[in-house]
Amino acid sequence: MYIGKSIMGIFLALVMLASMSIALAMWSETLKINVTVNTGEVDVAWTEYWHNDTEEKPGLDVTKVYVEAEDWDEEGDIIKLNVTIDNAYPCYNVSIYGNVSNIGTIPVKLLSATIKYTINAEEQSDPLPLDTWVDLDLDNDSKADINVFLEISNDADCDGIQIDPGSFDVYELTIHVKQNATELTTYFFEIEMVFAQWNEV
Amino acid sequence: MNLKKLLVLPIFLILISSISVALAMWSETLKINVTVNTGEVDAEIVRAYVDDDIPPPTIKPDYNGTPNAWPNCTNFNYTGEGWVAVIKGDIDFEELDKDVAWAEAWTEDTDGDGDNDTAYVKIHNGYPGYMVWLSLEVDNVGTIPIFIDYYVVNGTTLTKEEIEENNLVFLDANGNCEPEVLIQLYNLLGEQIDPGQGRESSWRIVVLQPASENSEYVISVKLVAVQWNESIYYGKK
Repeated sequence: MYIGKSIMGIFLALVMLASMSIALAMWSETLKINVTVNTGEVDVAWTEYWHNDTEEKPGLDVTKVYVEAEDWDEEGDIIKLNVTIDNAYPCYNVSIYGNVSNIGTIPVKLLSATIKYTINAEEQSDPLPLDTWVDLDLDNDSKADINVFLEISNDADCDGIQIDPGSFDVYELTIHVKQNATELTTYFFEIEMVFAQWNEV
Repeated sequence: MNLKKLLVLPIFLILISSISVALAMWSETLKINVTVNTGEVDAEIVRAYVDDDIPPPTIKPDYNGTPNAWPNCTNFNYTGEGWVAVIKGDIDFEELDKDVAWAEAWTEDTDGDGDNDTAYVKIHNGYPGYMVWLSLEVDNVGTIPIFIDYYVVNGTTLTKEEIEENNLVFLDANGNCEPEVLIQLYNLLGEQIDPGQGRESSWRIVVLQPASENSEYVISVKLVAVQWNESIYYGKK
């Protein structure tokens, strides 16, 4: 008696479950989107560099200027120039030119330019805004010895500080020896220019 | 209470990470190292000599010099180193028949930089009319071209134009308008002297009639050398 009722109960339960499954069966299709983001690259390099020093008079070249590559990144691109001015004197000035080429894939803009130098073994850092003379007192005697002027001398795309991939701007750094420079002295400083992705400058 | 504290830390970390995301900016840095080595303006009197540098008796007789112009009181200016008059004129001279006076010239490094910057001339047993030639050679021993811009004679500054106009410089030690010595300057001024090069000039010195016996008169001539590009003569030809 009990066995018969139990079998019937199980049977009824199975029938109910089957009817529910039928109710849940629904036709469907799934769409997917695969997303691959290949990022670009912000990359700039010095591609050409020169200076405008000339002979003081025919046959007499008093001050000599050397511009050469000093450091490269892991891809072999020049990221640092070394400028040496020998036998300079008050009032002497020379311009150093460098092509800043965008060899990456993202437009860049000049984010900042900074002058770094050392006074009494302490590193100093001054901003170097474009188109502005900046005085440097490198021997810490409260009188400027050198002043420098940074500008874009050739804006190839006429877009200001922006450099598009494949393009370049020519930056000009003018170095002027002031009256308070002393004889037989070495003055050293470093210019650091940071170029960042265009849309965040 | 403790639960609140526990909640603060993750919220703070989330805030920090969101700021970091905002600051993340791709950038590249280019650099230029600049070294400026300055040169040196340095001139030296490499040679100073007089034509009568052997004590008498010699077979070389003295010379007698007479200026053909004479200053008046209005020509003199007090400079702190005596009274100085600069006028136009020349010196007539003749060879005498005796060797009485003589002179010597030498150079010294007075500032200790290794170069002789001062020339001295000393006339021994001088007398009114005695004349001697002083020759100087000034070399550029620095690394920058120079001009000699000025002579400063006993405190009086003279340019090339002034020397060409008037080159007789009378020195009156006691301010009575009666000069005791005279120097006739010739030009070292206004010509560029490149490193390693030099210029030579010859000047005349005359003991004048008002000079006293057993006295010493000092003529000081300074040559002011200036880096070429800031010389008053730069660009003038």
